[in-house]
Amino acid sequence: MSNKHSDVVELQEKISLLTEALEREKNAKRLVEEKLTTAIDENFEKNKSFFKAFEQASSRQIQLQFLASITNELFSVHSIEEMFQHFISRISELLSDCNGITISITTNDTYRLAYYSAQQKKINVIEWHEKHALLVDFITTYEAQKEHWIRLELPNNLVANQTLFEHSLPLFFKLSISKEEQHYILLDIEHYCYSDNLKQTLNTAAQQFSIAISRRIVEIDLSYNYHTQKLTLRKLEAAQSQLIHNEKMASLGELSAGIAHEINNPLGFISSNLQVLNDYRGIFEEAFKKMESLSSKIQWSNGELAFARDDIEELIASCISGVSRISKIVTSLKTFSRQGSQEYHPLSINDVINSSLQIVWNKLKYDYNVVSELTDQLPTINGSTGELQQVFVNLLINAFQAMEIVGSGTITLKSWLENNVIKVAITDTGCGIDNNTIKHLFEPFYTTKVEGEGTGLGLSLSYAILEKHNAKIKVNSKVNEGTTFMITFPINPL
Amino acid sequence: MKGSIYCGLADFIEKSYGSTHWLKAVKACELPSNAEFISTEIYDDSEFELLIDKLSIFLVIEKEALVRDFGAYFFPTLMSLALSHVKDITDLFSFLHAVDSVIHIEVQKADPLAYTPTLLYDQPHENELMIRYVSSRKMCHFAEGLILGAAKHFSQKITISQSKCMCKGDEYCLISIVMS
Repeated sequence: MSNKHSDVVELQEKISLLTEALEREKNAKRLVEEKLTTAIDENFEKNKSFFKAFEQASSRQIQLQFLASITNELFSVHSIEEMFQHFISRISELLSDCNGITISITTNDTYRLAYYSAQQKKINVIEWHEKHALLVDFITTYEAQKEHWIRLELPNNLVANQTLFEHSLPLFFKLSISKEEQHYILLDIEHYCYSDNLKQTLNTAAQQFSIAISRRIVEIDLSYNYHTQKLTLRKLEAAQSQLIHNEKMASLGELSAGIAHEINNPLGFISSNLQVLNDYRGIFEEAFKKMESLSSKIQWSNGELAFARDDIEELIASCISGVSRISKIVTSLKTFSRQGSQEYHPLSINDVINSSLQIVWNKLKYDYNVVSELTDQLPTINGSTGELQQVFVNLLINAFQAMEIVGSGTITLKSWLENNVIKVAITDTGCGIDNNTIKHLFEPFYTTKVEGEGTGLGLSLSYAILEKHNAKIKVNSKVNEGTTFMITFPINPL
Repeated sequence: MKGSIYCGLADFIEKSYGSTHWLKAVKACELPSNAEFISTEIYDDSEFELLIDKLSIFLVIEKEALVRDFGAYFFPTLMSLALSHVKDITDLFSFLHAVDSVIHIEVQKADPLAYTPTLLYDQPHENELMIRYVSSRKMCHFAEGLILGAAKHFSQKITISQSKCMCKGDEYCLISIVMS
């Protein structure tokens, strides 16, 4: 028993000594660790600035990479909507794939809400609902620093009454597109536990985005202005061309008037004298016949005299015909050059077209089709039935002659009302007109017909008549396919 | 993980549950370092996980609770390490803001290129601080313990909760601290 007791006592003493030894070892370890800590601290202090610079450089590199990539995207996409989508998508990725809302508001109180889904990586427009008005009112009245992200605490009633946000402290950014248009971006973040560097990067990205948007708007404005100016230039060129044409026609008109005036007088007495001459011829012929009957010794019907007696009637008839033709040309020239309108009255353009068709119907009825697509009950226009008939008859005859070359065809007549003007189209399926001819089509005396066949005044007269009616005529043609003449009449009174 | 944590764990277990449990756990884990921890060195994180696993079994305590209690115990040590950085700090939230840089520097002293956890802060309201803890070590419950220790030090009543946790598969831990 005493041996066991002494063993236990010995063991307890041993444990006690070992525990004391353990404590001494722990103390020694602690002293060594303190010395090591001091040495490490001294070493760290020497290299602290290097470590700090290394960390800052690494951090800045990451920031710059992000900003560079976001800038590349901003300046490479095309529309403002795409720019918003890309910007929100990149920021959302950085902020744990949060969802977002964009609101655009213009000064005429037009609102547009859109929802960015981080899952779909897409912005979809939200249908306006009156419960969105609370959110819009709150945001528009909030005094936010521009181009700077802030945490926006939404009021409880707003959070409760809407389904757009999960959290009550979204990240908010205001962007002014122009004086008339503001955009707001709200990101539905659960928290904003990010480093100061990242928060600074977000602000820098926001400023870059703002610059990119402004730049894009300027580009759009410039592009719009460029296209507007291009259009204006085209219009000016067309107006210039029209002006030149009008001047040309006016000059030709004046020339025609002058020529007509000069020719008219001698034409008058030539025509009158020819009539008298023809009467005299009749008298001489009577005399010759009497002389023939009175004396058989004189030979009246042989040699040159006989030839002259036979030929003179035809000659005088030919002269009278020629003078008549010249007279018609002079009348046409006068019509071409005449300024100011005759007495105009309200008329139905369809009636004029139909009556013109009646005039040329005999030429068309056997070999050609005529399709009439005239709109009923068109408004009346002010004009001269006779003059307009002249125009349409001329166009129908031209169409017939173009189809005569081909051998068959169809003429389509259309009339309709469009943007407060009456349009008339006459289309044929004839031989068509080449571009070079079209340029000269309305010039007086210009003709593609053989000499003696037509005066070359038909279309120029038609042009002049239509001008007097404040109407415009255009031609569209393809060789071997056909031609369309399009006339536009204003329905307001002259 | 820094040796000071392992030394602290050894102290915590010995003082709270007796040295026998610590020695038994060390023997059972067969650690590569042989538990010869020096506070200024860096050791593999797996050794900590092995020790906690074994201690949890021996002591019949949930791992999370054990780590949290250890965190609260370790706070004074952290405070002593951070003293030069925090001597002018008088409130809990400011102290917690300083913790990240303290941990960062202490780990860097041992190994400038060593992995350090990240603590990121957000204060949405005056009485609420949110801390985002990102670390492959998943020591969020240890962090909770430290925070509880700090709150006690600054005599501040707090409610602490995690809306996200890496131990549950989330990308990061989100700890919310609300002052009562």
